[in-house]
This record gives sequence, C-alpha cells and structure tokens, in this order.
Amino acid sequence: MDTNDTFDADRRRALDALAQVSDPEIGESIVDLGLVERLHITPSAIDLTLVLTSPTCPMGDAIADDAWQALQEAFPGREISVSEAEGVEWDPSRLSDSARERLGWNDEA
Amino acid sequence: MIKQAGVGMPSRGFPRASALVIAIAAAAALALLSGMAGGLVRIGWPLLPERLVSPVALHSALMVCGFFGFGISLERAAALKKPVAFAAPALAACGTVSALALQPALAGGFWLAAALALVVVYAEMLRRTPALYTAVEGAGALAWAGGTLWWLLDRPFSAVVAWWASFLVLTIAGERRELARFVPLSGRARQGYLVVLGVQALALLVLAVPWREHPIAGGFWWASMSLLAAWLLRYDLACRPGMLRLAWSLHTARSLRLGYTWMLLAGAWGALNALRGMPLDSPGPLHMLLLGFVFSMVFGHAPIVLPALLRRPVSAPGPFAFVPVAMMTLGVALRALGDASGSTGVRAGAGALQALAIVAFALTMIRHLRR
Repeated sequence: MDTNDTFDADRRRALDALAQVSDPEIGESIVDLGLVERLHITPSAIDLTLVLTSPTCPMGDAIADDAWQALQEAFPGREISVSEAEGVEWDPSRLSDSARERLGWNDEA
Repeated sequence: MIKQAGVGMPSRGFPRASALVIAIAAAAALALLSGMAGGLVRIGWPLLPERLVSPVALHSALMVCGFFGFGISLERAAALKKPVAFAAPALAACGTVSALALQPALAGGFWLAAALALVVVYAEMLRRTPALYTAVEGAGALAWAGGTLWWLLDRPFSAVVAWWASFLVLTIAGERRELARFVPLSGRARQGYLVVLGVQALALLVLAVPWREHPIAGGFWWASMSLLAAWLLRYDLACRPGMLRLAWSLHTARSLRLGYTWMLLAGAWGALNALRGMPLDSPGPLHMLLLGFVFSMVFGHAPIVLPALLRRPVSAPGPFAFVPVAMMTLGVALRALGDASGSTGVRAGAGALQALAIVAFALTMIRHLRR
C-alpha cells in the first residue's frame, strides 16, 4: 500500500466514523448534511472543521463532541481536534444526494 | 446505527460543573413547581395556606418568565458561548426568587431585565448570522419584554398574556422555521409563514394600545395561532411523510404533531370566543395553547435538548416514555371540557392530571439521562 492508498483509507475510515454521528433534530448524519467542511489527516493527528447549522441552538457543541468521540474511537492514539468553521454558512447545496432524496428535495423537480 | 448527540469531550460552551447544573435545575424547578402550585390553587386545590398565596397571583408570570424565560435564555446563552449571555437566565432566576419572596415589583424588574438581555443576545446572533428564524425568535424575546412591561404597568391582563404567549409561540415558530431549511419550501409556503407572523405581530401592536379593549385584534391574534398551526402541520419537518423516525425522534414527531393540533384548536376556539365578545384571556383556549401546544413542544424537545445541554446521553425510550404526553393530552382535553362547561370539578381533575403529567415527564427524563 503506498502513501496515497493509506491516505485514502484513513479518509474513508474517518468519513465512515463521522457518518455514524447524527444531528438528532433532523435524524441525518453530519456527513450527509454536509457539515464536514474540512478533514485534515496526518499520521499523528486529525483536524476536523464542521459547519454548524444553528447560531441559536446549543446542539452544535454536542454534535462536535460526538464527532470528536467517533474519530477518537476510529483512530485511537491520534490527536483529534474538532473546530467550527468561521464565516461559512450552511445551505441546502451541502446536502448529499441521498439526504436530498430522503428529505424530499428531488420531489420538487 | 446512528449515534445520538450527548457523549462528550471536554466542554466548549456550556458549563459542566455539577454544582452549577444543580443550581440551574433548582432555578427551573422552583419556577415550574411554584407556577404549577399557583395554577392548582386557582382551580380549587387547597395546596397553600392563605399567607402563601403569592404564587397564585403570579402563576402566569412564574410559568412564562420564571420557567420558560429562564429555560429559553439559558439555551441561547449556551449557544452563544459568551459568559455575559448567561446574565439573562441569571436575571430570570433572580425574578423567580423575588416573586417567591413576595416582591412582585422587584420580580417584574428582574424579568424585564432578563427579557431585554435576551433581546441583546439575539441581536448579537443576528449580527453574526443574519437569518429570518433568528429575527423571529428575537421578536419573541421582545414580546417577553413587552408583556412584562405591560404587567408592571398594570395594563389589562389580556394584553399581558397575549404578549407573553407570543414570546413562547414566536420562539418555537423561529426554531421550527430554522429546521424547515432542511426540506424544500415553496415560495408560497415561505410567504405564508411571513403573512401569518405578520398578522400576529400586528395584532400584538394593536393590543398594546392602552385605554380600550381590542376584541377584533384579539380575534386576529387567536386566528394567527390557528394559521401558524396549519402551516406547521403542512410544512414542518416533524410532519413530513416518508421520513424514518425511530426511538426519541418518533416521540418528538408525535409530540409536536399533537402540539400543533392543540394550537389549531385553541386558535379556532379563541377566535370564536372573540366573535362572541369574550376576552382574549378566557381560560379555555389559553390553557389549550399553553398546556396543549407549549408543553407538547417541551415534551417533544426535551429528549433532544437536555442531553445536548447536560452532555449526557439519553437511553432509548421504553414502552412508558410516551405516557406523560398521553396524560397531558387527556388533561388538556378534560380541561377544555371543564372550561367549556364551567365544571369546577372537571377543571380541578384535569389540572391535577396535567401537573402529574409534567412531574411524570420530568421523572422519565431523569431516568433516561445516563450518568
């Protein structure tokens, strides 16, 4: 396995772990909701930046905590950091195709 | 399996210290229990000796300002992540203590300050991210401040209660509109939301004009409740068909749908009362709105919000988790029957059932929140 393969495998594993974390208000994973803004992976650390959807709800902190926990379990021994993306606003174009389907965006067409 | 929010790394916003959590829970419980006690005494239960009747007179203020004002401003402070934002819930808690120390004017002063502090919190949120839903919630905070001011100025209780109830309704309307961003909304749906809230805002402004009664504005205020409920039943995320809902998310969706139904009925009943010349604050529709709609929202949201606030996971709901919601639903229906027929016994029984439902729900939540 070369370096690129390792990188791709790590990224897939990280996204799989994050796909297990949901926004409980909506019942969709943070990956499908498009909350993952940046995922930087090195052999010793993972740095995740999330777009949080609500300025008025404290749920964002809990979601960030869950994301940190999920990455910690998937990559024991690596330093994990989770932060909030500054100045990035969530909009429906960030939804995955499958989430768009489930949430009815394709019914409109 | 999808992991639910609640497990945590070191906190970044809301204080975790158990002493603080206990103080916060005590402030909320104090307001809720004294507000409930006042309500029960009003409908005939001899719970308090005469010298301790202040919670009776302050029943509405304790419930709206002491309990909901405290809870909503605490949630927003936790979201804003600025220590100064916690001034709003702290002031609300001071108001509760003042009310129970038989100092209603001081309580009103604290609650007005708490409401204005919450307005400032929303203004800061709007400055960071301008959004319609935040503006609607901010309008709710203004309604809290306005209602408290009318109460301090001894204005007709119909104006006070309309502004206070709109505080809760607009807060919820903003929250639900925010979640509606995740589903497609037609231009008509977006305009409908604005028109409904515009009607409510206009009615509130007319109701605030002193020196005379405003039966037409009262009727429109109630009608706006029914229209908002119809909008929510049609467009809200919790009412959207075809979505997979399990465990607490199913509980939430069911509770919300029940709440919207109660608001629809309360609005129709209130509007009908207005046509018959009855005051806006006649107890039937008012309790249907505040206990049927608002408490359904509380019961629906608590399993989602409490784990996030307390940073504790919530265990899966058992077969009895929905019982408190069912008790409240039955209580609201019985209360409507009692209010409509003027039966003191039915009202008293319904009130007791509603109080039991709230206590049962609190115990259900405590049992499911894992240490």
